[in-house]
Amino acid sequence: MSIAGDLIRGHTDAIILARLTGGDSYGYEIGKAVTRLSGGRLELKEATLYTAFRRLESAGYVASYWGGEASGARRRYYTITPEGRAEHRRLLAEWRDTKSILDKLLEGSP
Amino acid sequence: MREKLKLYIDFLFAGAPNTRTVADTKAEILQNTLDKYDDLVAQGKSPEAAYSLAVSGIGDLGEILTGDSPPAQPNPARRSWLSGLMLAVAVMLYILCVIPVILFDDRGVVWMLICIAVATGLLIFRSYCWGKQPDRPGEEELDPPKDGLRKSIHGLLSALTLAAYLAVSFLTQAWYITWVIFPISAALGGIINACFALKGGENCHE
Repeated sequence: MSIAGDLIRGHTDAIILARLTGGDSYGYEIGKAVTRLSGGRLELKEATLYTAFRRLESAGYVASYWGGEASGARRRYYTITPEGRAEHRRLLAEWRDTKSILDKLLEGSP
Repeated sequence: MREKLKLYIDFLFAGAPNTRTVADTKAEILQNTLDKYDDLVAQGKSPEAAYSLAVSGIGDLGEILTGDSPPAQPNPARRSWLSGLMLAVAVMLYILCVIPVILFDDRGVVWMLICIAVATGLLIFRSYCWGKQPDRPGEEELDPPKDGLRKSIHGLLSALTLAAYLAVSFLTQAWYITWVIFPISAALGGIINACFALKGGENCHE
C-alpha cells in the first residue's frame, strides 16, 4: 500500500470512534478488530493507539475508565460520548463525500 | 517470556517521570501488550515469536515517555503580564544594586542591600502567586514509600556534599577547584534517580 497506507493511518481517530460506536472496548481489542477488518493490511501500534486515545479523550469524544478487575487484569476501557458519535457521523460523511469526488476524478474517460 | 515482556516495559519506562499519568500509561500499554502476547501464544506461536511480535507492536513511545500533555490540550498562558513585570524589575534591581556603592562608597552598601532584599522579595512573591501548579491531578508527583526513601537519600547527599565542600575548602584553601564537588554530587544524584527508576518499575503493576 502506498498512498492508501498514509490515507488510512490519517483516519486513526475516526477508525477508533467507529469501533467504539459498537460498544465499549479497550486498546488491544480495538487494535485486533482493526487488523481483522482490514484483512491484516493495517496494524495500529500501541503508541499510535495510545496517542489517538489521549487526543480523543481531551477532545471529549471518548471517556475512559479502569475495569476488568474480575478477570485479574486491570484494563483501561473507552466509551464513546454523544459528542464522539456526532464527530464520527461527521467524519464518515466527510469521507463518503471525498470518496465520491475522487471516484469521479480518477475514472478514465470512456 | 511473559516476565521478560514485563521487564521490557519496565525498561521502556525507566527514565519517565514518576507521575500518576505516566503510571497509568504504563499499566495500559503493559496490559495491551500482554493481551497481545497471550493471544499470539493461544494461536500457536512460540513464546519467543510471540514476545518479539508483541514488542514490535508497541511502536515509538518517545513523546509519551516524557510525560507531556496530550497534543490537543490547550495550554493557556498561566502567568500574567504582572508576573513578567515582577521578574523584569527584580532582575533590574539585582543589576542596579551596585550603583549606590559606586556613588556613595560604604554608605551605599545599605541601599545595595535594600535593592537586593526588594528584588528577592519580589521573586518569592511572584513564585507564590504564579508558582508551578499541577493543572491536572495526575501531574502531581507520586509519593509511594520508595519516593520517600529516594528523597531522604537526596537530602543526605546534599548535606554531605555541602559539608565535604566546606571541610575540604577550609583545609586546603583551594577554593578555586573545590566547587567541582557540586557537579560531581549532581551526577551522583542522577545515578541514584536512575537506580530508583529501574527498581521502582517492578512495583508499578500487580
